[in-house]
Amino acid sequence: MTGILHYRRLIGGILLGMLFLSCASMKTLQPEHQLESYESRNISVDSSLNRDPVMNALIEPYREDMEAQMNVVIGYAAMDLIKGKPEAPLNNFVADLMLQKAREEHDKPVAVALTNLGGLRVEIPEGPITRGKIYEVMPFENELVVIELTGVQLITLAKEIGEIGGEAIAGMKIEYVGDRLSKFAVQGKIVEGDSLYGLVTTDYLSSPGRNRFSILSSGPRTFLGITLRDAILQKIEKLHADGEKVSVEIDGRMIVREKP
Amino acid sequence: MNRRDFIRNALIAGTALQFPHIWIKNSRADQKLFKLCILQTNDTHSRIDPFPMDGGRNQGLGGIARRASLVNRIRNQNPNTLLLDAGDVLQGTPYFNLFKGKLEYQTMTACGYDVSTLGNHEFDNGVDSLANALQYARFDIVNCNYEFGNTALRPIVKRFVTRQVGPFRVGITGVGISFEDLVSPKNHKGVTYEKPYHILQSVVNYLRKDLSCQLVIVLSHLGYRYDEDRPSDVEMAGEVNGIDWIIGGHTHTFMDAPDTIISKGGHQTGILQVGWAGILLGKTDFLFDNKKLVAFKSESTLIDDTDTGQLAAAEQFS
Repeated sequence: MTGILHYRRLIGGILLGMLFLSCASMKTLQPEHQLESYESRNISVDSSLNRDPVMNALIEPYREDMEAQMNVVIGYAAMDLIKGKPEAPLNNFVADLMLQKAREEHDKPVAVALTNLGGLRVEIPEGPITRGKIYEVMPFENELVVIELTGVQLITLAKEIGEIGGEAIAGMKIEYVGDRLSKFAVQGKIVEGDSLYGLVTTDYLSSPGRNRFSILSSGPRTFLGITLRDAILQKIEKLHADGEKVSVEIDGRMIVREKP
Repeated sequence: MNRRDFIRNALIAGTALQFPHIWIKNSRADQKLFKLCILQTNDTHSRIDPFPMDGGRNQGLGGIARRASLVNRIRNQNPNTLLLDAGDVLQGTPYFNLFKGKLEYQTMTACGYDVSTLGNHEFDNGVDSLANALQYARFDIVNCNYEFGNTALRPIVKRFVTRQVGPFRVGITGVGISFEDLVSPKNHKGVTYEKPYHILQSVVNYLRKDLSCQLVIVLSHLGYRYDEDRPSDVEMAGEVNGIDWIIGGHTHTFMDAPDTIISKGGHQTGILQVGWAGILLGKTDFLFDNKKLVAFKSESTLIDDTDTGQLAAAEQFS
């Protein structure tokens, strides 16, 4: 370690010497605003830090409250719920429960669901699931919204999903090969261009002014009055009450392949 | 050394590690210089407690109670110290979901923060929720490139502040990132973004010339640098003249050493960003010879946690 530090110090010295020369040459511009040479080194400190007692006393009641709420086990995962492209268990679990929730809450048919994998922040390991884990998966207050798209718009969306290698989807099957949409079905049927299809997503993903999936903000949105996080929590709690664990199948709904 | 190696090495050594980077003119090093200390964090993201001991790469690191101890220790050594932050204080742990930002700003107040700015995640629960949370911040919030209209934030956020430190006046302002694709329109309703450089230049000129600040600092939530064409700390340092130090954020960049950039107008600007989550505390001593800034010396300290009681509590949570 010490050797490495010395080595780094030496390299640093050489680089800094070069920097000094370049700065010195530029210094003629406005010398009063330029600093001069520098050296860089690493040192270690062997004392460790103690927690500040005043700060700790301030945090403690909040920590107890937070832990009492977040450490509660609300259900079990029968498998590792990982996320990934093009298709993975966490993707399908979340998109499926969005579709199910939207069908319960919305007064018109909802055909498909879409959310972004970037918004699912961590994965759920096999075993007990705490409330806190779901807050980590979905920390944002994103609300479920339903929009209506024509079949033509839905095809445009499916292409965009394929282009980026997949997202969390439900109710539709996308097969994207090379740079084109080779198969696309909604509820197992071919999409009709001028029919209307209900799509559930989040207010975040469908907010105006976004570049990605901009078609989601092209029409009016119906807010379902429930956050995506609450929808996930309720689904796991429901499964648990029915004596079931979270288990998800990969069913080939999202396929992305290079051109053969 | 990348961040992962750095943390691994630090853990192998079993100590807190400091890695100072010193800019100093040798001939002046022995003279009596005034030392003005700037401490900095960015993107602390509601990490009140250290990361839980769950096998993750950051386990046991960070925690504001340890940061407070370190800050107090530094302030005892040098009372001419300011503690600053570059935003994204909020979002990332259930503390934010449950208490809506109150605890983050209360603990920052208790830690002795002087000034912070607004990151994009400050807006996650909307403008009114942020204004409520900021009632608990007994320190200044600065930003010069958001227009706050008639929102509840307008009386709270200042364009800039100055602080007298010993015989020197420090000017501090802040710049925020574009809301596009980052903040839902309903969550920044009534607050609009302006491209930062032009307005920042006028603020910096005012601080330096009209208010005679000897040190001008920008708290920036723009991000360190980008391949695509969008405002960044590196670009800002080149375009805007007269900034001495940029406290960076947003990109969660762990920098081994500060960057130094010479602006178009020939002013030398330092940039430092210290990762995220309060894993590091950045410390930079600005050395003044008479009324003139002659050098700076920068080091970052890893906030690690070997307090077993604390680790047990963290493990319970994980």
